[in-house]
Amino acid sequence: MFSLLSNTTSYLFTLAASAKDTSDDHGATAGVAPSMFSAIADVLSLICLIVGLLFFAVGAIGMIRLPDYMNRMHAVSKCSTLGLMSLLLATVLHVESIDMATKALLTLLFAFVATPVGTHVLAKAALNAGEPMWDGTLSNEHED
Amino acid sequence: MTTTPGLSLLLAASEAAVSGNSPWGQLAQSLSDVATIGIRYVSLLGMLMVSLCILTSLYRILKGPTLTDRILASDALSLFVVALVLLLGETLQTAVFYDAALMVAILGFVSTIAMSRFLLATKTPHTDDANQPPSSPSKEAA
Repeated sequence: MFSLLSNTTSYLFTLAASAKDTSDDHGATAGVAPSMFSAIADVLSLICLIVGLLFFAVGAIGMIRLPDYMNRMHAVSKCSTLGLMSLLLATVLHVESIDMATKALLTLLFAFVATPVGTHVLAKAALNAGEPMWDGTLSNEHED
Repeated sequence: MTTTPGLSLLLAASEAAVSGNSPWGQLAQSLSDVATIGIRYVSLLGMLMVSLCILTSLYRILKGPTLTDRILASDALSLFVVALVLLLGETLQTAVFYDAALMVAILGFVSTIAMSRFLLATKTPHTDDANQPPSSPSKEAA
């Protein structure tokens, strides 16, 4: 079992190290040298990637440790939405051809609209079901 | 890529500033190299981290005392899978994974809406002492 995991990880590392960059004109808008514009875009995509992964980590930790269903909904909806949007922004900034960037931009817009709508419907369903709330809840505006 | 006149002027200015052996050119080249290698390795390590996040959502699906916890965890699971597919596309430098990410995002959203509608239609308020959330420290100290 552990040998399977280590073999997979080492295979993925060698694959990442030897993956050919399929874009023929990497980082260049006119010529063979990368311009400052595209270098800054690459660095911004790296920063967005790291920030998005941090958001996902915080959301997953919140999903384990928070005491109540409503608290967990806070963690999942906000952190997952922001993390996914950061990841997609990194993709939009990194890919060179315009069609892949448009696809990633469409996915970003869809995730921006659809994920909060999904958790909102889930929150309404949970309120309707009368979920028991955490003892430290200060105010429940739906009780009447 | 069609550009407006203003954008083409901006690009021409950035090209003029970055040429050959100028220090800006070397800085741009080194930044681009660092970013390319960094993106590939960060996306690989990110795939491992997102797999751990998927394990946490599976834990919540198993442990969640109510049905709504499990639906929330499955919604989070679909979003983690979208992130995993995107990072795989960044690692392998293939174009087809971005379509797959869009498909998984759409399917995850629709399944969350479907399960929420089921929950809305069937579940009623209940008082079940076995499924109370853990009490807060202020109540325990009092």
